[in-house]
Amino acid sequence: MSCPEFEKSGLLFISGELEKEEAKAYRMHLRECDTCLALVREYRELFAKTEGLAELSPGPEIRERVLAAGSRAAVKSAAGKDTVFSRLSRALFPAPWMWGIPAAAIVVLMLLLNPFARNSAELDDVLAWNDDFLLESAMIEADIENVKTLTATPYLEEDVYSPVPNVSTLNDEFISIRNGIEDLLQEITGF
Amino acid sequence: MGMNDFQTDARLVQSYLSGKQAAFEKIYDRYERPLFSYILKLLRDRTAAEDAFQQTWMQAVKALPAYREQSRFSSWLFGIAHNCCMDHLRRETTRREDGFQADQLDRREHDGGMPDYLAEKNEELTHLARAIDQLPAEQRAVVLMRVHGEIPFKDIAEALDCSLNTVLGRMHYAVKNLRKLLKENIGEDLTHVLS
Ligand SMILES: [Zn+2]
Repeated sequence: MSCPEFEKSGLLFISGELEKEEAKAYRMHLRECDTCLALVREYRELFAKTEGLAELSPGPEIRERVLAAGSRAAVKSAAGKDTVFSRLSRALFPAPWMWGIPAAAIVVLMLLLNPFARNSAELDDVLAWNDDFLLESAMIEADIENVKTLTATPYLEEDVYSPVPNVSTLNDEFISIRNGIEDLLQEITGF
Repeated sequence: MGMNDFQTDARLVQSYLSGKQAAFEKIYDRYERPLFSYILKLLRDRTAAEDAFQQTWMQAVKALPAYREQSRFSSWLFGIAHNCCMDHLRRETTRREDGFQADQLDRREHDGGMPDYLAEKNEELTHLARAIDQLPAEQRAVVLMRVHGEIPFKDIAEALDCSLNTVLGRMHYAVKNLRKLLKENIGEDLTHVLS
């Protein structure tokens, strides 16, 4: 004893999951189909009974264990994300290599303030390098913009930055440049 | 759980992810009993159920930062639980080297009478609980997710990673089987009482 309409729509009707129009159509069908009407009644009665079934709890030590795991994860994610400083620095310098910009600015400032370095050829070199670095930064930024526009699907900032191919070579370059500056500073200041 | 709870779930998850530990406790307390009931009645073994229950939460905690609100939190969580239960049943099957199948696990007899998780407050509900317990695992999963998770069929399909038609089909079979089992069980008990 069944009806194809019940197989198709009966359960969703009882569960309130039919769209408005579908529910209306099935209600019309119920007026003329005794089979469906009987089945809807039977299923409803059964579902109502199941609401009385008991729920069970695990042992009390399990609650403690799960909550401890939840709090460890919360601490981890909070430490990774939520200090004012980290938020500010992420906003200003979303990619790690961008830290090179303030670093370079500080070096230049130090050199400008250093009386021994004024008018020296080395200072010109450093300033020229600083310009190159900013230029290179701007080019990488343009690359990133390209990647962003080429990516049709929604992206996360992290996803965009990681596939930029020259980040690691840039890092190496940055390290060697930094070493160069340190050498230069040593020469200029004598330390 | 209605639409309102659906929205509060999403808010609690957001609040937890922004570092508020109390929100996690609320989520846990909200789902402890429904989720454990689902797992225990699916696995039918308390030790195994407690394992799978903890595993479910560990995986949920790990996966929460990636949880997206387009799926209902309850069906997301029950989906994880279901996978943990299936892993457990698979391990159980391979552990028994005598070719015992998961399907046969369904029909294994409970030794020493009725297990405690089938105890209900009256005879009618006890019959119902026992009948559900006798359903094949895939039908039992749908019924229990509906009963204890209060999850709509469309979301059950998502949680079980199958089509809506499959879920509806299993539910129809489950009801047919329950009808038969309830008749049998009650008949059995009546003859027992009469003899
Ligand atoms: Zn009909």
